[in-house]
Amino acid sequence: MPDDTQRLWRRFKVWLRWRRHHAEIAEEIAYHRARKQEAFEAQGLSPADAAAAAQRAMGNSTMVREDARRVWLAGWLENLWQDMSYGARSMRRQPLFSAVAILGLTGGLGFAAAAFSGFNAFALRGWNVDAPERMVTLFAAVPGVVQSRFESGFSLDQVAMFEARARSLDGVIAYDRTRPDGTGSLTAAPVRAGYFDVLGVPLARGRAFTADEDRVGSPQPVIVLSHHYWTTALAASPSVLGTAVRVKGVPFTVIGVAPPEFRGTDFVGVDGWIPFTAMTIVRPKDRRSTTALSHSDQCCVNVAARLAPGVSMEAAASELSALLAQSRRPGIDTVEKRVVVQPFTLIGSAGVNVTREVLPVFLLIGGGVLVVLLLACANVANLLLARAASREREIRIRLSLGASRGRLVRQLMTESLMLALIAGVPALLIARFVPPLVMRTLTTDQFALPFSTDATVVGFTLGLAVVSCLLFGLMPALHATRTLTTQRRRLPLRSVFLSAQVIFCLVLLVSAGLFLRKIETERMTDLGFATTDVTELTVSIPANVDEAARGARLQSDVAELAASLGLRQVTFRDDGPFRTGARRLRMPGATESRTVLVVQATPEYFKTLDIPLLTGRTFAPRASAPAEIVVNAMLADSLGGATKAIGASVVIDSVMRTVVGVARTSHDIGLEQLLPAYYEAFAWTSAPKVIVRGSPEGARRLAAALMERDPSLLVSIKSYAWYVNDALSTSRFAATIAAAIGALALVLASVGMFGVFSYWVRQRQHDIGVRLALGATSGHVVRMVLRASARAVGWGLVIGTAAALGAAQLLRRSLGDLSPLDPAAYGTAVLVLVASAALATLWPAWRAVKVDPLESLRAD
Amino acid sequence: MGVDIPVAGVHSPIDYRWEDALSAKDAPALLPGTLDLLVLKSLTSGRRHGYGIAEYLGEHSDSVLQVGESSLYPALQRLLLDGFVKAEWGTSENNRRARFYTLTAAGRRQLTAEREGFERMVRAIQAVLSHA
Repeated sequence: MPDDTQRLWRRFKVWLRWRRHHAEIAEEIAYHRARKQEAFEAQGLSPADAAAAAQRAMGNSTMVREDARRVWLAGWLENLWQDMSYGARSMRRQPLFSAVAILGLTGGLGFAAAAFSGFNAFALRGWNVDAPERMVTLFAAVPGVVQSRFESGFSLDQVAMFEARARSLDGVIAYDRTRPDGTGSLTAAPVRAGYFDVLGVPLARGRAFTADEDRVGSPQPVIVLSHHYWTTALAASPSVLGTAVRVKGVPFTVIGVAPPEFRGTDFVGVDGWIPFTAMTIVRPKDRRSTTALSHSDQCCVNVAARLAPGVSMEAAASELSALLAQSRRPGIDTVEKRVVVQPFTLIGSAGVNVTREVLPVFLLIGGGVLVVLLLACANVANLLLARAASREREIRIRLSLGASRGRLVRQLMTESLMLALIAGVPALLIARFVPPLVMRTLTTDQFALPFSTDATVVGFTLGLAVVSCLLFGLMPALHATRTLTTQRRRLPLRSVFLSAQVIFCLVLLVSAGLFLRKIETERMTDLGFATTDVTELTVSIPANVDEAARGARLQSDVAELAASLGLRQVTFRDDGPFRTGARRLRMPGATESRTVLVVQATPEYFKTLDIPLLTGRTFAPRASAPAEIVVNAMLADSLGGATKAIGASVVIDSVMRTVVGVARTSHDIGLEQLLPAYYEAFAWTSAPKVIVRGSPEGARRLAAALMERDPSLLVSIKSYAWYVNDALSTSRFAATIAAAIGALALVLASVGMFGVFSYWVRQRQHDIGVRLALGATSGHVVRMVLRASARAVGWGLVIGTAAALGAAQLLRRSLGDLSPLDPAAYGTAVLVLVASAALATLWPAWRAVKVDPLESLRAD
Repeated sequence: MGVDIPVAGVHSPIDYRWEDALSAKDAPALLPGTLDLLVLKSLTSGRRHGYGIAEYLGEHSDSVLQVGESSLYPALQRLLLDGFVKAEWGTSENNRRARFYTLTAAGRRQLTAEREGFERMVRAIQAVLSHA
């Protein structure tokens, strides 16, 4: 109705000039009164009498003004305004209460907001590509087989085949997580030509590379830079196109710059993108990257695709699976695979495994956050209850003056909402600054996560504030306004909230304890190989040289220099610890094959790293007996046991090999898993690792000597301890977060208990005073206070232990080998909680005893 | 939203007029809705300020209608909100600043409509009262 719209518009115009509008009404009424006074004077009254008469005749001019301006306010708005100004007044009257409540809520909400901000950056942020909902990831899966992380991708041949033949796809992209980063230069991600076209990302400058520049046999050293690298490292130079940047020492020509918001298909940031085939320029002898270019049984590149409009993921999966089956080559692709199509998420793009690693962490954090928030709410609810007790008179008076219960509850809820919303502001600040800090300090990867307090985060936080206000405010409000008819004897609400605090706190403390115990046990894990006093030198051999010759020279150089430096235990390896390749292994004559890990090293590997050989001997150098391998005990078991395995023949990647030794199984792939693996003689890569056992100083001298002898080499140093530390990072991340949650919970619960008992004691000051005056000892009084707390805390501990046992079952998967019943975690948690509960109770009790009975009696 | 606390809520215009009528202690109770009608009527002969309206109503009713300021000013604000009158600041007859109210076209229409309704009501009441 236009009439209503006009009224609303008029209202709005008045709101805009609200103060002025008031002043005008006041002035108008003042004028009226002046005229009235004149009229009375004209009737013969003295000026003073006339003024008084006018005043009387006008009645209460404040009321008139109020009534006149109320016309412009809608009812609910007016009530809200009233409630809020009333709430603000009562908050100011009790600054300590307000501060404690807001602080507690800030803790709970801030933590939740920070966790959500992290989750938002990981999983919810829009991806700046064209129609991201049509982007999917493709995985290869063997029906009925749990996937290891090495066989879920495709070869580039298969990618090309999909691109040429699949009708359900509008384009396919392939990329690799290998980062040719070298030392201190820029990191570039190898991607297949068409990457930017298929994603629908228009470049900010220049062009993307063409299929011609990404051809096997004639790769071109061209690069598209990230906007971030261009602006930070190159000062956004306008003439950047055509210049050269170095990727691992090899000059690459800049042909384009990506748009600022594009971060690639991986959550680890990169400085640029190079053609996939250019990997052969950067790492000419790296089997993993070069064989991926030709062999389909050599996995794998990550593959994503754009669905054709209107095509479902199921339809695409069945078409692609059929195409994959058609293209199987007899004798090579021995295993039938089907194609799994999943929605592309940025983190998912980094590999299913990363999602598997990160998502549980977030679920745990989310659970922790929820419990902390509940704890904070129970805390504030208890404070509100205590405060309601002190406001009882006021509430009774208002009730008996005719205010309805609903109206009073609304008033109290408005105050709660104000508390929650005020706490929301610092919570947002926490969400803004804490997650990036946490990621920087707790992870070794360089994350390119777009942390920002965007509308989603703000909305989430405010929504959570409203929800939590219902959680902590409603019960106390109903409780405070109950009338005699609604008052029934039930469990004292205060004890319920107190127990709830103890329960939530205990659950969090036990969980934190379990995570801390987990990292402790992981640190103690026997990895199966030496990690102390082990230093690794990464020797970067320049590209485009005869690597076989160079490798042989390096080997003799290392042997000679090590001997001259007195380093006796030195071996070569293909990669760092926990980083292995994978191969297909089958028995001669069998068709079924399985994936096994492979470590390439020189024969001294086992001796250098203290890996005992259970039977047999180490393999010979490649030159003399290339077929010899050593298997680990786990693989030997599947070959019929350690003794039977010696001399056995196996087929690895279509080549017959002979087992000459069995080594004890060690953690080749990570801290948690033990997998079947074999060890073979070292083949040269462009970045071999030299492992030196002994003092790090000796290793440093060896590195310096190597670079002195051949200035074209780049040698970098890492200790095995660093790798172990890095491998622990996920656990440490969880443990640190859990410890932070536990600490926060403990502080919240202690402050809450302290607050409740302070109120409790203050309310009974009179009572205590009388008792002391009548001869009660301070021991009596302290016992009285303790009794009051012991009941609630005791129940909390009992129920909390049960709840923690339940929570630990949920955590079971993240705890690895640690038992969810670990007694140390439970015992410590209970002890810590009891101690802080005792402190939080005894302090108020002690203060109560200190009270001079006369003082407290006089106070009434 | 209910009206729980007597003074707190804003009432619908009808309620308000009842209250005005009931709270006017210094004069016979006005019939519901009549204050707005009378204010509108007082403005047909030109713009007036609040005091002028009260004066006009007193004069033309032989001092029977003593409109209380407590009802007059809220009523004027209501008429402003409904768009029946316009307000502007001007100089009064004794050379002071005063707010003058003018009837709008919508106000004139409203006056006609309310007047008809009121006259019908009065006739009906008289008919009932004069029935023997």
